Amino acid sequence: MQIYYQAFGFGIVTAALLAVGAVGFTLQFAVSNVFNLAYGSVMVVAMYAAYVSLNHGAGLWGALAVGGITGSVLSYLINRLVYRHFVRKQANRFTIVLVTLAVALMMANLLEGIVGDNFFSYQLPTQIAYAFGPFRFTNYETIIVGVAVVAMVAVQALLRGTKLGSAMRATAENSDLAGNCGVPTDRMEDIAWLISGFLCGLAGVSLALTIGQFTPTTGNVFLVTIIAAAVVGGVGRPVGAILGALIVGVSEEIVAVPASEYQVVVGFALLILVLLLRPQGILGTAQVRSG
Amino acid sequence: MATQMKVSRWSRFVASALLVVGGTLLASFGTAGASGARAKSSSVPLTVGVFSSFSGANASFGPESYDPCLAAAAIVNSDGGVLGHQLTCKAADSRGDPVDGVPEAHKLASTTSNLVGVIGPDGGTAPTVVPIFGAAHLPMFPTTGSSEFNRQTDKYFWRVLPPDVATATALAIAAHGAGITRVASVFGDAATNETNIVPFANAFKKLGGKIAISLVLPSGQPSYSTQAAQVLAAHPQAIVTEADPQTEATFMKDLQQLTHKLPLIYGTSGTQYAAWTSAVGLAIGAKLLASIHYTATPFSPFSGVAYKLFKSSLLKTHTSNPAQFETDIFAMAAFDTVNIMALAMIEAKSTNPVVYNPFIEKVTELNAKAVVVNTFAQGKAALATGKSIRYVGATGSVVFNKYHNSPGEFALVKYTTKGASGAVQVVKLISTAEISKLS
Repeated sequence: MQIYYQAFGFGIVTAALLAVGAVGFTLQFAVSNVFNLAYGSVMVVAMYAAYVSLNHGAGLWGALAVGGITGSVLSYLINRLVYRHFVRKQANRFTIVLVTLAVALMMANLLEGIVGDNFFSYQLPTQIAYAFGPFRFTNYETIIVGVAVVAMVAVQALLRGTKLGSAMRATAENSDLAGNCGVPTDRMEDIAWLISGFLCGLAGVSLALTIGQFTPTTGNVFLVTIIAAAVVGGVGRPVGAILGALIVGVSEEIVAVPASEYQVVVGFALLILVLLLRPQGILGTAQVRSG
Repeated sequence: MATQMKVSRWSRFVASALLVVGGTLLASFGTAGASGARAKSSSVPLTVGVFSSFSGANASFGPESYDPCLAAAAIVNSDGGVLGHQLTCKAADSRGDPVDGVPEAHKLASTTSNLVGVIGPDGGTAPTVVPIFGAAHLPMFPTTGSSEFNRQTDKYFWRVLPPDVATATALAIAAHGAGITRVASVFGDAATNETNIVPFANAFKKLGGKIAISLVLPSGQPSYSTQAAQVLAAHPQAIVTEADPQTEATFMKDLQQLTHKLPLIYGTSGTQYAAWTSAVGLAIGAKLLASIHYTATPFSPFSGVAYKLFKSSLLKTHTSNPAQFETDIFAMAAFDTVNIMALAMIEAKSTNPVVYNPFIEKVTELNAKAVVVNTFAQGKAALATGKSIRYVGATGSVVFNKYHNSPGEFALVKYTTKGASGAVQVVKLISTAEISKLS
């Protein structure tokens, strides 16, 4: 039984990683209607930016900040320079997904051309996990969970408790109507991409910390799990993404106890189950978005 | 009538002569066409295809064969080439996946000028790609260890390194010989790893050992903490393993975070290549890895003329990081492969793959009358004097059985962190007889 408690604790760390990534992903979709498959590539670029900053003495917190800012700026630029044109032309979702895939491939190949296919690692001291009740965490894992909690609370506070958040939610619900009511929708979209990009960068650096090494293709598999968490929770719903991340992250670790090889299956099985029973996701509404 | 008879005889004679001459000409054209099908003039370079993963999870497999191919080709070319032809190497990316590999194999075989042979395919694509190269009459030197080729019958198939079942058995013998009786079996979920799990378990149990826990790791996950906790709870003396570099590195890092003392790591030859040691070394520390990591690998003396030539020529290639393959058995095998092909062509006096293919066995087989040669230059010189040769290269002796597999000896080796890519210490030799007894 002890191993199941431990697995639950490990699942919380995985969920924290997923939550930061999934909230960023879902925010982009909510505001811009872009199902951004280049999200994983932005995560990886952020990993490398943090790597450079660490090598220049930035420290862990500095590296997290650099990763977040890199993700933020890059996401903003990609949306401004590429995606927005297609959205404005009212390209269908399939076209936009293809465009995001093209951007992802271009970024991955460019990055591979620059840094090669060698492995990189943050040179930080090795840590032994400490016991916290039945759970075991390292300091880095505690930081990852802490950062995730703070980021999630901040995003919720922003969206629910500020005028800016209200304007962003209005833009997400109905961009045209919000525009007619005087909401500067373009600016709201830019801010949403800056915030979601920051979360994307944080998720990238956190992932690199967890797995111990990375290459230009590291984000690919993880992106699929992020998408699963976002869809399970309800695409376009930040709280749903957090819930989805918890369900997927913890389930994957718990299932690994009796059947390690099926760990990866759980997220996708949940995804299919939710799509069958509740296509809009657990917290989604039938009409996730209009306009 | 007589005149008619004469005319008729002359006609028949002329017709017969024409037929004979024409036939001879056609035959000679046919031979020339065949032997020169890929190289009609000596100035035309011959191409060795390197069909492997250059991208994806096993992207390091490609350079592992390509860099040594370049090294061997440079030596062959500096010694006058093969029958006057220069050698070149051409990379073809299988991506380790049949979906990408099959069209790429067709493209390589059908569009490459003067393609004389292929290094590869690798494990991910071999089952679907071997028949393609076989049908194209291309000698191939697969890097897969899959057991399904242990009794294969394609005459163009030549496996230089022993199959996985032999590796797994050698690993069991090595671990047991080191006094290890309780292990955790931890393998990645790649299809190629499946061929290690059962043979290892069978051999280890026969020797009296116990598998304390057996886990398969799904690749590319952000955490294997649960599996790491399970492994530690089973109290193994060693972890027997092979997984892709990223998966293994994440697992080992998670393991390290849960204990002050990592168990020993006994890996297959799949854990001895540079990408694996680099990734895992970065995750847990290169020094720590070097102190606990042992590998059962096909035996190479890591010394002698052939190895020194391999190493020196490899380091001269203008590739991104050739030094990483200095002690890599797969890289050595690729290097030897090019030499074997080149010498077989010279012995066959033909660059036509159909003609020279049987000579691959001839230049490597055990033959009391043959002169043992360790380099292409030695082999070429011996062949020029009409002697039979037996090539013994950087990987040591290669002797093909009737299934074109080379069983070979094994060694338990330990890597140190000295030098650019680490130096190798041979800890123990494991003979073919020992392996056969348990297989």
